[in-house]
Amino acid sequence: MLAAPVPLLAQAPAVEDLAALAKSQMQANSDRLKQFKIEISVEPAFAFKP
Amino acid sequence: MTDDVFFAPITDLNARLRRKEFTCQELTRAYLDRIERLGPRYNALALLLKEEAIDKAKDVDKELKRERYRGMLQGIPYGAKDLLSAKGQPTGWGARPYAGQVFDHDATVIKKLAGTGAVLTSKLAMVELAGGGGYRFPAASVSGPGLNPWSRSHWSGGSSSGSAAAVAAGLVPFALGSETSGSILTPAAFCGVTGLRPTYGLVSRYGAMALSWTLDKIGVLGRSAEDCGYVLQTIAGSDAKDPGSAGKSFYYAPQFARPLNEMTVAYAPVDFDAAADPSAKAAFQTALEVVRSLGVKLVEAKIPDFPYGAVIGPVISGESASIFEELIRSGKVDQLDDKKQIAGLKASLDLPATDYLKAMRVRSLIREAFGEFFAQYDAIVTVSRSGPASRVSQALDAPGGRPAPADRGFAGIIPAGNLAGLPALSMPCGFAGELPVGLQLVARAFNENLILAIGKAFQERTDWHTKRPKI
Repeated sequence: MLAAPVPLLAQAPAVEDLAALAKSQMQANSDRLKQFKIEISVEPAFAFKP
Repeated sequence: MTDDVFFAPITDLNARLRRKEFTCQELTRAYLDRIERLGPRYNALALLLKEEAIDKAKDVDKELKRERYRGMLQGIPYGAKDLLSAKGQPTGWGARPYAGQVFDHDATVIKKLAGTGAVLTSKLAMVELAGGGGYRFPAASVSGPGLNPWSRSHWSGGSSSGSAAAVAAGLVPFALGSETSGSILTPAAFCGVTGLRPTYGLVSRYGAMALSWTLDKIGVLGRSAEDCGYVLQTIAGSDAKDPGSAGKSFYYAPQFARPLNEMTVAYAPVDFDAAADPSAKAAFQTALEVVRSLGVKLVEAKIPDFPYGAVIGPVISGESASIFEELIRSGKVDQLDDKKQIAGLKASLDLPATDYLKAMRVRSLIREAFGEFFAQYDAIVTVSRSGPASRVSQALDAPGGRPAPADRGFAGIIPAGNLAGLPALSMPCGFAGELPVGLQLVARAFNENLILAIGKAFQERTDWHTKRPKI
């Protein structure tokens, strides 16, 4: 279901702390989303259907 | 049975079955022998269903003898990604913690295909848990790394690795795969087969492993746009067992699509030039000219401007953390093969609800933006991936060797198209060295016939989809 990004060249640098890497990626996404201003009236893209 | 049979389109196999050139049993046995022999060569096979397939083929032969015809897929063998349940058979989701897991029901798509007389020969290998935690190596699978039939030192793509490799190597005429963000389009492009990602909600996910309830789609990997159309017609449709079902059906009818010369197709020149891997540029540019020669009006355009990666990340993390919470908290997650995936799933438990909801709110805007975009254009044409498959030993998060151009073109179309729930088609469009590359078409929701019509016309003018790897 999820395709990994595909590198163009070169080997990845060694990742010492994958947990820290995962958290930093989540934080980067969070920071990026915080910069994205939206109106208060915008609802999430799912709807409860009774 | 000659090798031609293993690379024949569904329409041809169906006609030959009806003409009694061979029986369904003979066809099924030939495919079973081939996948049993060659499937492990590409780490494509998760489970062979020999007895069940032969029993089903016998039933189909009885029907064909009575001239009881059920449609284009009657008697056609196929394989299913191992995240789709087949009653009473192991369904391991590509992941060590779920090895031997058995469900007491068929996935809706498996049931629908059985009803039309298709013969399930195999469960096909996949990236563990469809890669939801974010994996680092192609070896992130209980089956080992997916190996590309065009070059076994290269990756088949993921997460529908076995589905694409099996079609490319002629081990099945078609296969079911799934996509949350790129997992049909990527392996289709890398393996040189045609991949169709349907609109979100068009195909039931009942009986499929969930990774992200609001993103998961079941789709097709096949030999051509036409073959994908026939399969989609069978598997699409309303299903009360899938809360995401759109309640719509699909009839493959490219003949009723608007004439190509009335279509406006958006593209970004940079996708075919500076953003493309140098080895693939010539193939992409030739393919674009073929699209132009179909008579469509090609118009330069840009993808709506959103931080697609930052939106899709929290959606997948939030939903997969909930789905796999027990796996993660129990510690069984440590049995997974890919350490980055383990770390990603563990970290996802700490995702703030506000981040998930912000992403889903931005997603509402993305959906609106694509609604406006497709008021101007009928489709988008871009590359499926910017280059060919990477080496199987290479880390997937390695930094790119080329700086990305400032003009991003449609580079974000895979997460964007998935966030907006849009249908997409990947077709082989040439080679970068020995490896195939793919062209991608995207349309507004529920416009599968439009991209299939463009795809069919493209494949009538090219023969990339008929190329075979040396086995």
